[in-house]
Parts: sequence; structure tokens; C-alpha cells
Amino acid sequence: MKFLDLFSHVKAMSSDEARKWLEERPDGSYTLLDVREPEEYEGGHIPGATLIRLSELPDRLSEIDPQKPVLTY
Amino acid sequence: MAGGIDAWNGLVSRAEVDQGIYLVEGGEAPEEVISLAYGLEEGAHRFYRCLSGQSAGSEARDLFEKLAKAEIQHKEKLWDQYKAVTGSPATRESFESGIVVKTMEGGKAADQVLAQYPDWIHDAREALQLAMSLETDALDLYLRMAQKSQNEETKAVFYDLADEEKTHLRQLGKFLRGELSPG
Repeated sequence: MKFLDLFSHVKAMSSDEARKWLEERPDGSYTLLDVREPEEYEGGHIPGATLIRLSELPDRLSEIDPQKPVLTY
Repeated sequence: MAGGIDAWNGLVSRAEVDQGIYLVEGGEAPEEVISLAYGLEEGAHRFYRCLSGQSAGSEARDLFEKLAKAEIQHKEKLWDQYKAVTGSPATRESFESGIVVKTMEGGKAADQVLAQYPDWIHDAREALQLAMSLETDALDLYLRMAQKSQNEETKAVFYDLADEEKTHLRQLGKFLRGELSPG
């Protein structure tokens, strides 16, 4: 998977839409991705979010399951 | 998500990146993580009992006592899960003798959390907010442990535990909004 492939089907949603989207899906059926810095993550993150810093994303794409939808913030 | 975390109005965990996640390596069998979770729930039970004993207000004391009892119920469910998964005739005593209580659910040690709250809790609202913070960290930890796990049955155990935490959080939310009485 190439870095830009991660964004080939990107849809922006509001926080209310995101919350509904998460509630409709069983845990484990998606990836919730936090792309901030560790100190920002530790300042507050959505429970269950995986942290991969944006700068590291191209090198860590293999950690994201391409079969599952990804919700990023 | 537009607006990032600043726009989020749901649950927020402030757990550190590695908080508690060191407790699993990823290859654990279901019964191993059930035992781990049992230890975490026991840690939380002891912590709430401690807070109940130290709280200055009776409402906070009663609430923490109720939360401590809820953790006992979680342990009962985990014991039932352990028996179902292993099919083992092990006694509760032998099972508990193997439990190591290092941290609370959420991955923090009790004294670590208490150090952040040097003034004892005075009212039910403060108690509820603390409890919701801890339970949210527990939810976060179980979800991230599930992601780390390589065993599908073990993942299922963690997701089940996460669902329990969500139920607990919904109830705490009702207490906070005054829809339920802690007593």
C-alpha cells in the first residue's frame, strides 16, 4: 500500500457523524488512527485510538489493515 | 474527523502511549488475559475501597463503595469466562492464587493515581468524574490490548471486557446527569 492510497477514499465527517460511525461498528472492525504527537495523544485521545505520528505514517503503513476502514483525526 | 480531537464531544482517555500495554505481548491465550483482567479488576476494587474509606463526603463514600462492588461483579463474570474457556475443574482459590495485582484496570498503579489527587474527594460529582476518567482509561487499555493480540479468541475476550467498561461508563454518565441515584 502506498502512502497516497491511504487517502484515496477520504470523506470528512463531523465529530457527531464520527461518533455515530464508531457506535454503529463493532470494535475491531475499523482502525481509529490518531496522527498527532505522543504528548498530544496523552493529553487526550479517543479510547482505542492507535497513535502513528503523521511524519511516520509512510513508513508504518504496514501496521494499518488495508481491509478495514480507517477513521483518522 | 473534521476539527480533530478538539471537536470531539465523546469519551476521552488521557492514558499514556505505553500505559498498561506492556502487560501483554500479543501472543497470550484467552485464559491468560482473563487472569490478567481479573487482576486489573481486583486492583480497581481495592482502589475504590481505599477511596471510599478516605472520602470526606458520605455521597462520595457511598458511590465509591458501589463502584467497588461493581468491580466484584466484573470479577465474577471473568471467573465464569475462565471456567468456560479452560473447561478446568480448578477451584476459585487456586485460580486467585495465581493472580498478580500490579495495577488497576487502565494500567496505572493505585498510588500513581492517588498522587495526582492529593486532596480527598469531597462530593459525588468529583467522585464520579474520577471514576469516569479511570474507567475510560480501562476501556482504552482493553481496546488497545485487543489490537495488539494475535489470537482471535483473546481479541474477543478483550472486546468483551471493553463492552463491560462501556456499560459501566454509561451508568456512571447517568449518575453524573442525575438520572440515577448512587445510593
